Formats: sequence, structure tokens, C-alpha cells
Amino acid sequence: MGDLVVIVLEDETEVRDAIVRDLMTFLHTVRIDEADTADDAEAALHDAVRAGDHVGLVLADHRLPGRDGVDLLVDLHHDPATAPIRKVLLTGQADHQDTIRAINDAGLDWYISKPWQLEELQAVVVRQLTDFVVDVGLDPLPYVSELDGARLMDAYARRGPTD
Amino acid sequence: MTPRALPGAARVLVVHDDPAVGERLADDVRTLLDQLGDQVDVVLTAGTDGALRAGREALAAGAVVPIAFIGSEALDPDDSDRVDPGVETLVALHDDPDLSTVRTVLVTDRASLRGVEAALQRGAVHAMLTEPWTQDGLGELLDAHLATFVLQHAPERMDDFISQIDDDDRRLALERIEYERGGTSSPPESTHLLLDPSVTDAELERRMVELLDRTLGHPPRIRVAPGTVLIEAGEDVGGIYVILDGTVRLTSRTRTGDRILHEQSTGAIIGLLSLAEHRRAMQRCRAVTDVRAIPVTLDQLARALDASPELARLLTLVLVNSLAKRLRRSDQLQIELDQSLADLSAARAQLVASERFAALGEMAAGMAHELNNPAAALVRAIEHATDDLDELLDDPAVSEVLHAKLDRSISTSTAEMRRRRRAMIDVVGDRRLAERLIGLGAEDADEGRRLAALPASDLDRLDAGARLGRALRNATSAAERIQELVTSLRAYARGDQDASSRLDGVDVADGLETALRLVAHRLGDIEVERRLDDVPSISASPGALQQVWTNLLTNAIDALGDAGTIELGVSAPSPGFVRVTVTDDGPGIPADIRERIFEPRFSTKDGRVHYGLGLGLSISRGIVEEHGGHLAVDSRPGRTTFTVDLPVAATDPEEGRNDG
Repeated sequence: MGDLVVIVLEDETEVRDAIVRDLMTFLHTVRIDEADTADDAEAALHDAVRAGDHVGLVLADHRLPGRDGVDLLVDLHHDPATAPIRKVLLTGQADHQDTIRAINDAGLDWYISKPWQLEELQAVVVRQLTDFVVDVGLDPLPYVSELDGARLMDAYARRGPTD
Repeated sequence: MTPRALPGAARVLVVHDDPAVGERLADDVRTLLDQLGDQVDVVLTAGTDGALRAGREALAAGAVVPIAFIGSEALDPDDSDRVDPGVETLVALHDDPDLSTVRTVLVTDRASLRGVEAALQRGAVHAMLTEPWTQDGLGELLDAHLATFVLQHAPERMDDFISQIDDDDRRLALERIEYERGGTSSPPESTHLLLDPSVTDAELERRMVELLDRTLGHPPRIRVAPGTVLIEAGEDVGGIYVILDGTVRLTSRTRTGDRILHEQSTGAIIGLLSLAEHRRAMQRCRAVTDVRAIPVTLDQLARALDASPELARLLTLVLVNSLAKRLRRSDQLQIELDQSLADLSAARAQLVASERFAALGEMAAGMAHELNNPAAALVRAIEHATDDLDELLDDPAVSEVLHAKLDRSISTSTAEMRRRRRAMIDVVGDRRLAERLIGLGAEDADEGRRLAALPASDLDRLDAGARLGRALRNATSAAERIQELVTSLRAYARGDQDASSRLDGVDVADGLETALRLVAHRLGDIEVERRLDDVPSISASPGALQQVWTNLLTNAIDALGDAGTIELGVSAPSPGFVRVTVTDDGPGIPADIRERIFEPRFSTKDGRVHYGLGLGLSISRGIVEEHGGHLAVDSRPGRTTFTVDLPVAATDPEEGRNDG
């Protein structure tokens, strides 16, 4: 069984490092991959798929050189293969129009504004990843300690003996 | 009632209580009748008794008394019970069986009809002369009434006065006699004048005066000097004035002083509109030139209108014309008012926006100042922390990893990191391990294997060192970015106050880069291409130029919207000058506003003030010109270039361009 993966898309190294570091403090069973452009995020996604991993969450900045974060999320949303991936926008400068587009066209799951708080980031990531594991039907057991254990156990119980 | 046609002199009486005025009037009458020589004598007297006595003496001497000028006395307007002694004299003459043929002229120093209205309406007064009179006015009166008297009472002596009486005088006199006998002549029917476009104002006036003369028996003309108030605002008007010559001014009193509503001249009828306002005058009417007018009392007007339907039509036409004129004026005023209000509100919006910019500028300067210290402290604190870390770390391997991560000259893309990771997985087999090794900076298989062979605890320490290095590096570069932004912001905010202070060695390319940093957050997908030649540094005010670059870049970004290319150029096409160009491949400036983009004007979009085209450009041009330079624009769809030429050596804008 492959890893559960979070892809962090952020073009500024300092900010990306900080996000990754924050995630590493509470995610040990989940692999964190980084990308500095939307295209590279897609490359990381393909790598993960090839390796048999499950990308459960894309945490994207909005303003990026080239394709912006919302563009990527919209594309992911419209591809059935990537549609279940949870999408969170982490941005300091999204204007009204971009936010509306992200919510309406990209099925945005959450929005975090910069500067973010560790507790908020953690809560959002845990909830979204838990949702993903439950919705997609991954084996929840490896993530019970790090994600929302109660919900995962509940889902495990309901999965029944077919496993 | 028997006219006595006696050979010898005719006597004109001048009856006045003020000997000086009487003397002057007598002299003027003598001068006017000079041609008649001995035929006419002028006698000066005073009071009703004096007038009657002088008249009887004249008749006894076999002379005729064609005209008597009778002075009126200034009465207290509030004392309406007192009868004017002049009017008393008039009535006495009128009632005297022997002297009732005398043509009476009331001489008054009041321009208003008030007070003399009663005298006019008794029919005892044939004419009215206002003081100060003019020779023309007096002459006209003399001729008219001499003619009337002679025709009516001494036609056989017409030849004696032929030098004084012309055909016109005779014709008018006949009409006057006819009227005074009570007869009316009915005018020929004509098409309604309102429907006749060929009728000119002059014609209208001529016809109206003719009709008034005919129906009222050549009513007296008055002449008034400039400044005389004919009608006072708010007062009851006794009648109307038909202006024959000269100009009157209608004014209204307002909060901001007297306001001229309009001026009217020959042909105008004054007071007509007041009739619709319960005879209450709406405006003050004052003569601005010598004015000759026919005063017509309301009673006279009623009689004239009764007698002449044509006059009624004419009056209607004049009234309609007058109203139409005022309505047009009023419409015009309304339009001007609307325009003024619009201008005012635009000016106010501009003021508010300017103030907002000034406030923003001050705030930016203040913030830049406040941010500067913490940013500097941050940079220093990180340096100190790094030094102390080396002291604490007694492990050279960890120190090495930490310093490797601190080195900011190395920047690796996430794609490259992923490629290295894949390669390392092939070497060590385990993905997690490969990730850690890459994170520690292992670049090749040997290095990877060496690190992989270390005990787990060592690897953990190295990991921590690498993370620490990265964190310190990121803190440093973040703090430095804040410093750069602060510097840019200060340069920008400082712009205005330092516009006059010049520094040598200003690098325009540097300035462009700083401006670019300030607007970088707006670039989005816009690509920036640079064509920067080596050019001499110039003498300039860097802060002011910063504003120019920022403005030009902002305009280009606004023009491009989401995507496009901005080309920045620095060159020195002619000696002594450097040239900066900012080019975008946007839609171009619409031809209809291209001429006006340097006008100080604001545009607003989505309720926000845009300082793009408009104020920004006008300020930019001002700054460039203060530097002795030139700002030009060339725009067509797909390519808009702003070109700034700046002299290398400082030029004093007051003295114009230097040779160097």
C-alpha cells in the first residue's frame, strides 16, 4: 500500500519551507512533497501516482509565476482521477474574484489566509486528510494516531468485514 | 374758450417755486425758441396766483399762452394726503375759462410715476418733464405742444411757427387733438403679430409707440439721467415704461450682493411682468445711460388697450417675447448651474483623492520608518544567533551542514530536488532515507552512501542542523526583503519633498529595479524583459524619479491586465542623455484619450481611485521636466511605449537646459 501524500505548492522558498516544517511537526505517517510551480505540482502528482501513492491534499498558494494556484485546483477538480483530492488555498492576496472562482470552479475545500497559525493549519489539514481517507476508502488504521482517530475508527467499523 | 389770434408775441409761462430751476428752464426754452425771435416771450413766475396772473396779463396784452411749464414739489412719499402745489396750479389753469387752452407741462424731479400719477390721470396735465431735463427732451416737448396748441387754437398763425413745427409734429398733434376730443380711430385688422416672423423688434416698438401716441394723445416722454431708479424692487408699480432710447438694468438683491439679471434697451417695456405679480416689482430697474421713455400709468394703459385692440395684441407679443427671452436666459442659467455643479463635484472628488494620496504617502513614509528598525534588528539578530550556534555546536559535521544550508547562493528548484531524490532512491533503496539524504545536501551516490552508513542518532543531529540552517537562511532573506521594500517605499514616499534636491551618481537602472519590486505583487503572469545598456549615472532626485518609474510600470500593468510583456529599456541614444523606455504589448491607449492622458485627471474603477493615467502621468511629466528631461508616449494597439529622456548633468529648470 502506497503513502498518503500532501503536496505544498508555493513559489517562495522561505514560505514553502515554513509550511513544510509546520506540517512535519504533526505529520509523520504522511509524506510531504513540495512544488514551486503549478506545473511542478502536477509532476509531483504524477510521480506519486506512478509510485502507487495517494495524493490526499494539495495546499496551494494563489499567486504564482505562470499558472496560478487556482488554475491548478480548477484543473484537478475537472479531472475525475484527481477530483477527490482535497484542495486548500493558502494565500495572502487573493482578490474576491479569484476566491469565488476557487470555490465555484475548483470545489475548494478550505481557505487559509496568510499569515497562518500552526493550530489552524493543523486542524484544517487533519480534517481534510481524514475526509479524504474516509471518502476514498483507504485503510484508515495507519493514520488513526495522527488524523481524526475517532472518525477513522468509525469508518473502519462501517467498512465491515469485507477487508 | 375763444382763442384770440392776436398779432405779436406768444408767451410761454414757466412757473416754479425754485427761482434757480425756473430761471434755467426759462433760459433753455428761450434758446430752443430762438428762431421765433420776437414772436415768443418766456415769462418766469411762481405759485398758482403768479401763474394765473401772468396768464391773464398775457391775454390782456393780446398774446397767446401756448404752453405753461409748472414745477412740481418734492413730497414726502409717506405723506399721501398733501397735494402737490404744482398739481394745484395745473388744475387752476385747467379750470380757468380763459386759460384752459394752455398746454400744461408738469416739471418734476422724480423719475417715478408715484405721486404724479394723480395729476396725469386728471387729464389736467398734457405732458411731463423730469429734472434734470435735456435740451432734446425739452425741445421735443415744446415742438409737440406748440404744434398742438397752434393747430387747435390758432391755425391761422401756423406760418408764424412753421420754423418750429414740422410735418411729423403736425400729424402727431392732430392725433393728439383727436384723442383729447374723445375720438378713437380703429386700426386696420391684421394677422396676429405673434404669427408674423417678419416683425422686427424695432418695428414692433415703432408701432406700439405710434398706437400709444394715438390712443393717449402723445403722452409725455421723460428723460432720466444714468443712475435714476425707475422702479424699486418690491414696491408697487404705478405703471409701465416704454423705453425709447438708452439702456436700463434690472437687478435683484441676493445674498452675495446685487445681481444683474439682464439689461434692456430701446424697445423694452419695463414693469410689464410686475403686472402679473400683483403690481409688485420683482426687480429694481435703473437707468445705465440717458434714458428716454414713455411712462404709462395703469389707468392710461387700460384706456389705451380698450381703445386699440391692436395695441393689446402688440403688448401680448412684447410680453411673450420678453418671457421667452427670460425663459431662454433662465434655461441657460440652469445649464450653466448644472455644469458648475458637475465641475464642483469633480473638483471635490479630485481634492478628496489628492488628499487620500497625500495621506497614503505620509502613512507609507511612516510605516517605512517604523519597519526599518525591526527589520535591521532581525537581520543582525540572525547573524548573532548563527555565531552563537557555532559556539554551542561542538560537532563540526553538524556545523558544516548548517552552514551549507545558510549559503544562499544555492537555490534548487523543487523539480530538481525531486529528480535528485529519485536518483538517491536508486542508490539507497529506501524512499524516506533518500529524502533525508537529499535534505542533508547529498548530491551524489558516494555522499549518499557515506551519510546512510552513519548511526541513526548522528543522522538525526545532522537533520536538525540542516533544518536550523534553512530556517536561519529563510529568516535572513525574509528580513532582507522587508528592508528592500522599506527602502523602496521610503524612496517613493520621499518623492515630493525631495524633488528639488539632486544627487549625483543616480543609477536609473537601479531605480527601475526598485520600482519593479514595489509593483511586483501586481505582476501576476506579466513577463518583464530588460534591455539595460550600460549608461552613465545621472544627477537627479532619485525619490522623484522613483515615482515616475512606479507610475509608468503601474500604467503598463493596468494596460495589460492579467498577462502580457513589459519591456524595460535603458539606453543612451544621444550624448549627455539617458533614455528609459517602458513598453507594454497591451491594447494601446484609445485615440480619443491619447491627447488628454497628461491632463491631471482621475479615473475611478470599481469605486477605487486609480492613479494610473491622469494625475500620475501629469505628475510624472512634471518631475521629468523639472529634471530638464522629456516624457513622451507612442501608442498603438499591441505596443505602447513611454519614453523618458533625462540629461546626465543636472539642469536648473529655471534656467533651462545646460550645455553639458
